[in-house]
Amino acid sequence: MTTRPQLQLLSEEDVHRIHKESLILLEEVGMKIQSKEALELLEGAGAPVDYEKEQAFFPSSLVEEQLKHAPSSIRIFNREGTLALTLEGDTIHFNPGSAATHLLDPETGERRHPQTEDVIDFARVVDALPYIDAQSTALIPADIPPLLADRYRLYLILRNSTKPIITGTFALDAFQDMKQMLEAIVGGPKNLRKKPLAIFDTCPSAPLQWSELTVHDLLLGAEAGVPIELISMPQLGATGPVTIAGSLVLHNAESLSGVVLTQLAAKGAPVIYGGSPTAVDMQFGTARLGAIESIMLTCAYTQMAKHYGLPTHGYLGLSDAKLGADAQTGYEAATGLLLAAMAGINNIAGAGMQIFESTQSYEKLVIDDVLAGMTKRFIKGVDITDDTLALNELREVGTKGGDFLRLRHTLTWFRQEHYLPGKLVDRQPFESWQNEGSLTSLDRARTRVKEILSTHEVPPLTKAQYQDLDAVVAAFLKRHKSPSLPFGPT
Amino acid sequence: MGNDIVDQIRVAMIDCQTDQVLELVPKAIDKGIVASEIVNRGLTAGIRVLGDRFEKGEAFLPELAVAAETMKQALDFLEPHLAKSVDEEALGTIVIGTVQGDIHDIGKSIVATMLTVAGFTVHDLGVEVTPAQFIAKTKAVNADIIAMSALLTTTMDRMQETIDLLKSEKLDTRVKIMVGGAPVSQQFADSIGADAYGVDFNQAVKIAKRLTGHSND
Repeated sequence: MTTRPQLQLLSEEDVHRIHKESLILLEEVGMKIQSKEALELLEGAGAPVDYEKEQAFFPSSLVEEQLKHAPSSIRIFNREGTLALTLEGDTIHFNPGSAATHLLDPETGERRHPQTEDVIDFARVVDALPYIDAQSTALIPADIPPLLADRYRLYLILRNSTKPIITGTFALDAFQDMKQMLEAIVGGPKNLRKKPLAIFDTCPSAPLQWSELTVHDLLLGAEAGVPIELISMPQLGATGPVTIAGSLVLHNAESLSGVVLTQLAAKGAPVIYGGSPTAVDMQFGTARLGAIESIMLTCAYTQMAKHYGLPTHGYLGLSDAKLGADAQTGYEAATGLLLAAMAGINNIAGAGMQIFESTQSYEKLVIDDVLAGMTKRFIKGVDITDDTLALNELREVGTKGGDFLRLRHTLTWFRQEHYLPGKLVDRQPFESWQNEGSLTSLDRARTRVKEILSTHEVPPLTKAQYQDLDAVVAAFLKRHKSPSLPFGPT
Repeated sequence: MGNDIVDQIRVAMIDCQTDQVLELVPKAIDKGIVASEIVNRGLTAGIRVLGDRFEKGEAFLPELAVAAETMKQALDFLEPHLAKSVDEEALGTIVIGTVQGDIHDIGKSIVATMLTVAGFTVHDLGVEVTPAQFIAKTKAVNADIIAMSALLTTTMDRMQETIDLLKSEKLDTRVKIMVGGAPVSQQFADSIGADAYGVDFNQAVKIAKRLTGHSND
């Protein structure tokens, strides 16, 4: 028997209050939605709509009704068609934070714009890490035309990793291209619906707005059975109330409006209640992701999502520190990941991500893999059985001063009971550490990255997958008059 | 067919299947396989694989400890069948123990395991070992090295007593002394006239190889 470590920030009474206030907000203030199609769907379902102001008011009964249709479990598959993520209950999975405009160069430490090669290398490192369960389109390649970068990074990752992918679009014509790329891998729309390989993030614009692009993706995704992740992102004190409770009401209202839209587009469409709230720093005006208040809001909205029986997502484990591995990088990442795991967030995004969600680093990525391993061990809890209690062994060794190291019980259990992080974590005796050059976390992380890049092999796509994928890419490149891009179809 | 069973012993060693090893070793003897082949291509070859995996971070202390224990039991059985003694085949013979007054065992046990894995014949006397016991065993097995451990500052001085006894028995020119344990330092080792000090099990193996002329490291 084990007891899963839990985290609860809200009482049952609090949950009901937040729910009630969110419904009132949606009904009385509503949402601005830049999509005629979405407004028509809402009007058809009985919501008062003002087309001129692009505003819809959500009756409470509509929200309550649509919540019933959203599935409580979503399964995501890898490139080979094997089940990779089960988003339900208190399961946890990790993926790197998405869409960084910058990268910390692992050789020089310089903060620079990522290139196509970086997208490939980063995908390969994520592919190799044992505790990072999914890819995200983590880097935006700066050598690709900005309006093509969304789908092109997906293309590069599909070719360089087998793990499922968390992604999103930058342009209205991107979703269909990206969906077709995924279909090329899995063998058509039916298979994609049955075994989704990717999740699409759609972010409402706080406070209380949906942009044309995000609603467009949300509706198309819902219709295609592609899981949609709702990423509400109020900034405490800027685009949301400064209080955690106030921004929680806002966050919850925006998320509920997203759930309603997905279910109106397609009843039973897979939708994940997520978010990326931040706390605005009152000294520097920056949007702190590693802040404890951002973490608290995420854990609190997770409780709301669980109350609704929805799969959950959170942007946690991020840091605002500037080095890939320093004390702040470590303590902010560890705090976020551990609390996310305790809160039971199904899809935890943030590995590798730092500096206000702008920058990915390899060093933080491989360290976060260790934290993810530690965290997964933690939530397994203390296993109490006849065998784990080791009563026979305690008697056998007794008081005669022996040890347990050479007992078969130790051999049988040590891998299950202990997380073994490898050489990234410094556990050497002092003198050995000194003799090997007094290496820091940053040094060890860089060594790990180099090892992976020089040894990790990703299985190739089949010939048919390559051909179909390249055909989709060639078509959109032609449409955009960009016939040749680095590492593109030949 | 003979090769098969020796290879099975090697694989069973790698898998830490003690019962299987102890079942296969007598069978191999019954089939007329030479004992030294069982040791070299079976037991030692298996434990070396584990040692390599340990270096790479793929195998861990419990696996090595169980394998070393299995090795010891198998060698006990094989001893009468070996033309040359096990000690002569090994890198050297080491008598190891925690000094008198000290009941801390685990660090010393890990060092003993690693020395076994490295190819030494190790006689582990356990804890609370008196100077007389160290010397008696050293004579009995014709040891090359005495390895002493202490965890308490109050028991460290016992190391000096063993060295003094070794000198009075005129064994100090042939038998080397290595010391270790949390309060022990290079400075302390020098002050009591020990031949070497190791900070952890990795160093202990290196030192033992150096003291027995198997490495200059």
